[in-house]
Amino acid sequence: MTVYNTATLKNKHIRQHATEAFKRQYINSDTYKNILEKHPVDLYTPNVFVKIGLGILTVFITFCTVGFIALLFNIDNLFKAFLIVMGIVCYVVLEMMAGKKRHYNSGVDNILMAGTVLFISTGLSLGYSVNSPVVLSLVTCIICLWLALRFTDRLAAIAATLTFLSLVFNACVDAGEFTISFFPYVLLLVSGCIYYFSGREERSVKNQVYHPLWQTISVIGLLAFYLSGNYYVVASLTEENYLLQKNSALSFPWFFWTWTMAFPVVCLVIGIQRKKLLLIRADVILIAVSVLTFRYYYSIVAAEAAMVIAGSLLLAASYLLMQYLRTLRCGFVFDNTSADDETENVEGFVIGQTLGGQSRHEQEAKFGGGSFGGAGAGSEY
Amino acid sequence: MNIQIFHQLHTEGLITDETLDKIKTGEANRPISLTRELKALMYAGVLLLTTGLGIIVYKNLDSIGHLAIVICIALAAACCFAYCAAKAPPFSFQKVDTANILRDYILLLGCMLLLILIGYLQYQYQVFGNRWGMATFVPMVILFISAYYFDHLGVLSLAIVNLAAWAGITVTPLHILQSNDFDDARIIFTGFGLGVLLLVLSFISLRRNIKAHFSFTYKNFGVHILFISAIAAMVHFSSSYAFWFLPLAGLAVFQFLEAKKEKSFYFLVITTLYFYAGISYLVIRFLFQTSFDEGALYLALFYFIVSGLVLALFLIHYNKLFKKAT
Repeated sequence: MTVYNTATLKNKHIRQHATEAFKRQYINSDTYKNILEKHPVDLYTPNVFVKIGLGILTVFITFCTVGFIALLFNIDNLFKAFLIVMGIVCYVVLEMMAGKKRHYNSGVDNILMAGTVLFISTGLSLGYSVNSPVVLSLVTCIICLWLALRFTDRLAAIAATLTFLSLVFNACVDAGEFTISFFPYVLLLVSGCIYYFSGREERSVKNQVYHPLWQTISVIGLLAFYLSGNYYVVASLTEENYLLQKNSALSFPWFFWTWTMAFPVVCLVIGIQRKKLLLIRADVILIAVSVLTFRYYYSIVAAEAAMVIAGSLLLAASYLLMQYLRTLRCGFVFDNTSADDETENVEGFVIGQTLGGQSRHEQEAKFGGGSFGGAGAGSEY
Repeated sequence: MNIQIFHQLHTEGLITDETLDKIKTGEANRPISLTRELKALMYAGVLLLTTGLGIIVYKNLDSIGHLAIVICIALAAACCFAYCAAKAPPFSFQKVDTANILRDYILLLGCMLLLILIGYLQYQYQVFGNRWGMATFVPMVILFISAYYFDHLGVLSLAIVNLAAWAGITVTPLHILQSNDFDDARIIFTGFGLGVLLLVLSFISLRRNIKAHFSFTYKNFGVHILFISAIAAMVHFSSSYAFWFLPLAGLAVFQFLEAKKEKSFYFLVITTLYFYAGISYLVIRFLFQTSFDEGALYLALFYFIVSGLVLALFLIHYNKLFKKAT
């Protein structure tokens, strides 16, 4: 199914593991070189900055080409069909770039994928009676799923998961009043299944080709699982239209509040117990979301006071944890070593950007020596 | 790590029994480092605390006792600096490898509190009178001293942002375009001056080995501000735009050679994109010089498609060259 050679993708996965093992000093350099030699990879994946540059240029080229062709053929009346054709053209170019030139996450293929989805879905949504949210999300989901499988792309996998959840939501709303009031529970069930099965596939050795995809879907599944029961999200979706408001899903508010506040904590405990760093990171974000949700409905103190309190608590908590984890505890540790130069440069950039502010010193008011003449005789003032 | 992959490598005869056992035991007992996560939390704490304090001071300028605010913030800043001074390793012109990550963040907090304090003192008590420049000059000097004394790249970034603010422009990369009026000749020339100064500082840092690791930060700010000023000059001095293309071309050639020498993907990409923006402006001006007709529009779109493709091939070529060399 994938455009790339399956053996190459497997080799890529093995190489990543070998590199990690070499960094952790499990294997020596000879073994490492031997593994790399026996598992060649001929994919074109440039440096991250070149990737961004190529991505920007691809956006530019794509839009200029669309504009050029639109002008050349004067397609005012056929704009919707034209967009779909452009989406297909993007896909054909993508097949060539990935198939012949072996572009893999090079910036070019990522943008062409986005172009394919964007042009086709916009073309469909603008006309051809495909303005039903169910049909539109179904078509977009199928395109994203195909792109994810064909090009083993993480972003396409994320888009496929999200459009699938959107499809489920829209189907619930369209099905009737009974399913409307149950939509959060259906979403909970579906996203829970996505999380469970993607996690299982991620751990399986048979799926080395799609390993990055399963890993990404697993994280998205977890976030969706939480957000499907988050009070604010459910309330916002309920306000979408009259039918949703009439058959409000919030008839058991206690369930959603319990879910909003307890889920991240439970998951954090599980993450710590199972020593899953990805789960811990996701849970820290979810805890922040649950606090913000609570604050949105029950604002106890002003925003600035809340920021000072939260900031102080974060500083204190991180300091205490740093001290506590100086020695190995329950399998976790805080390495008190400084970061490498590249990381430090990035940190410096982020600090300058976020804390630097935008203020600039304006020149003092200058009072120049104006001249004047009597009775309006002079022109200067 | 997926242990089954190593079982597979073992079956292929690429790793020995001992190595496989070593990997299994190592992974089972490997501690999980929470360093990045805790550093991110601490940074979020500093960001929230200083932003919250800034808003509180701004909102309550007339209601809280002024002296109370001044004393509280000054005390907190003094405590931060005192802690950093107590924990600081001896000063060196070389990179000081700090083992105390907490100190870095306390220093950052102290610097931010200091900026809030000086801003407040100037607003409320006009301690610098009408010399508003002093209100940015004084913190800038303190920030530069702190950055060098405590060897802190983040504080150096803050100092450069303050230096630019003192000169009258904004240099935080994401605000550089929206916050500056590049239609003003004074801003453009200030940008040129500041950019050159920062590049010189970067060069000196590296050549004289005075905190050589600060070189990248100086250069990064300097290159962006110089390129943007050069392009802005082409747009602003529209009657002599071809002449103002020369500094842009000179800078691009210089930066390209530097990027080639250092094998820097980052500077290669930004130099290429800025130079492309300059050339494109030149081409578009030339095409639409006489009238805005359909033929010129076709040519412009055709130019963008072809030049974009050429540039993409150029980047792909140099990516391969740099990868081979590293």
